[in-house]
Amino acid sequence: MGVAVVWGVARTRDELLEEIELIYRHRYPAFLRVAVAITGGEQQGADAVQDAFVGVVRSRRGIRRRAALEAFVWRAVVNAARDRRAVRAEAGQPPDLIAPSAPEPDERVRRAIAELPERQRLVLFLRYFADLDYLAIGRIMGVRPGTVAASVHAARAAVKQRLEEKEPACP
Amino acid sequence: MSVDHVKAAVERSVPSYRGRTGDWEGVLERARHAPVRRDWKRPAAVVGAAILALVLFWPGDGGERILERARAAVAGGPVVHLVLQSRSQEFYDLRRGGLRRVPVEEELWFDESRGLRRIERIDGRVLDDVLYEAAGPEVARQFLGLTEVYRKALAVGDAEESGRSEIDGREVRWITFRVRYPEHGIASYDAEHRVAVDGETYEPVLWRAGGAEYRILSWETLPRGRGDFTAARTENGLVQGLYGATRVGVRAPNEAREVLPNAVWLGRRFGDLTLEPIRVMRYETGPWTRGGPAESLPGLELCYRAGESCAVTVSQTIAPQPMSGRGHGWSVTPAPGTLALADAEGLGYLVRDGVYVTIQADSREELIAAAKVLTPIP
Repeated sequence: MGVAVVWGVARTRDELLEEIELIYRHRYPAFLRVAVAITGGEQQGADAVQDAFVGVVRSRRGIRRRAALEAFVWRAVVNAARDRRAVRAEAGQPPDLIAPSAPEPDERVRRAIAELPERQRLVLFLRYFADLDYLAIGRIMGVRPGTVAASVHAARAAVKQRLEEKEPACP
Repeated sequence: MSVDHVKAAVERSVPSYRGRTGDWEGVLERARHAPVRRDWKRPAAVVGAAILALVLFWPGDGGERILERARAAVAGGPVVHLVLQSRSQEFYDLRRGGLRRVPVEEELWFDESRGLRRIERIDGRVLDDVLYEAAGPEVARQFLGLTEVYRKALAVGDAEESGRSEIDGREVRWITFRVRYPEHGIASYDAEHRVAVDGETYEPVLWRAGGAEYRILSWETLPRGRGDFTAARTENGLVQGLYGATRVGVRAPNEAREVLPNAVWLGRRFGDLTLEPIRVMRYETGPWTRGGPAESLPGLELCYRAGESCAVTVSQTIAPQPMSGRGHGWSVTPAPGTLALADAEGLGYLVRDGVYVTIQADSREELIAAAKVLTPIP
């Protein structure tokens, strides 16, 4: 974490804007993937990413070091996606069907992941879709890396347990 | 049901969207036309300065001594000297084995007219010593302007004593308070801080915020002109370069040394993992970095594949910045023969023959095993 939390260094608006743009261009597929996973819809995910970056661009004066910037952006994307999902749920709209990247050989796996608590699903998405380490995920979610590790472990264990449970017998 | 099985299933559940570029112009257009609702007269406050602000303005109940010291410091020209133990870094000794966790110490000197000097040490070794000259006025506003935020927090009853405990045999009193930055409209800045103050002297001992914990080793204010602002290097306040990683090609192992003469690998196979064609990378900064032209550094990425994903990835280049700036969160360059371990499982960083290497594995055990067998590519 280092000095990023201890003090700030002056930067001009343009420098920040260029950094934000680079992050957007470089990481857009990952942002979109995580946002889609949270919102349950491709268009909603894309809108959430746009919402997040509009907010980040507008509030960039409150951002300091680059180390904090990426976590800040990720947090904005996650929050925007959650907002989009909440709006959809309030309106009673079901999530879109996302075409998976590859056929899921075991439908129970997909269901088990879908049924995980939100925090556990989110750490899996950030870990695997965004390729973020536990430290970065912890910064985004506002928890310690150990908590992230525990959530990943719990998610894996939950999926495993779910799959080992016997399918309920048909009446 | 292995870790790989879960990972692969998660990967399959949503398309990768590789190649999607988004609409950056659309972001700018919306941002331009969105109403700006904030008044930026007051600069953004930095949470770490909370320590100073708290010490400077904490009222009553034994804090009078600190308040007096603070008043004297402000009146005399505040030069602030702060030593923090901010975090610790874990290392693995690749020659002898064994893990060791070492605290990282940060020493800060601040003077509005001279800037901010930051010295980072680990094990007594100076990792970085830099004076941010041009940052002076901005940092000054953050250090000094923040006090109003805390006065407000205290005024509206956002602070309270929240119990007593013991730290290293020393009785401390915990103080909890809310830090609000409503003018910024950034929810994440609205946070709860906890500070432990010594039960007798009321000097701050420990500060917790945002999941981080800072041990306050020393704090003092000095008259104007005092203090040590002679740093090993100076910067004008710009941030470190942002490195983008771009894959520019692939090479067979026997060609990899053309890219990096001292490139390292785990062999063609590592356990039951197989090396893919080696990816040639470019790690690049933006043109704004330190006001100079973009830097472009050569690099390699070695993927040892099991099934659909890389179980072990070895990334390497010839400078520390790309490796330390890839979200790994460390600024520590490990000593030769030593592997720095991130808190995240399976992530490590080392330097070998002038090559800066990160290794990402599925577990810490696999990471250490990989680091041990790392050898130059023949």
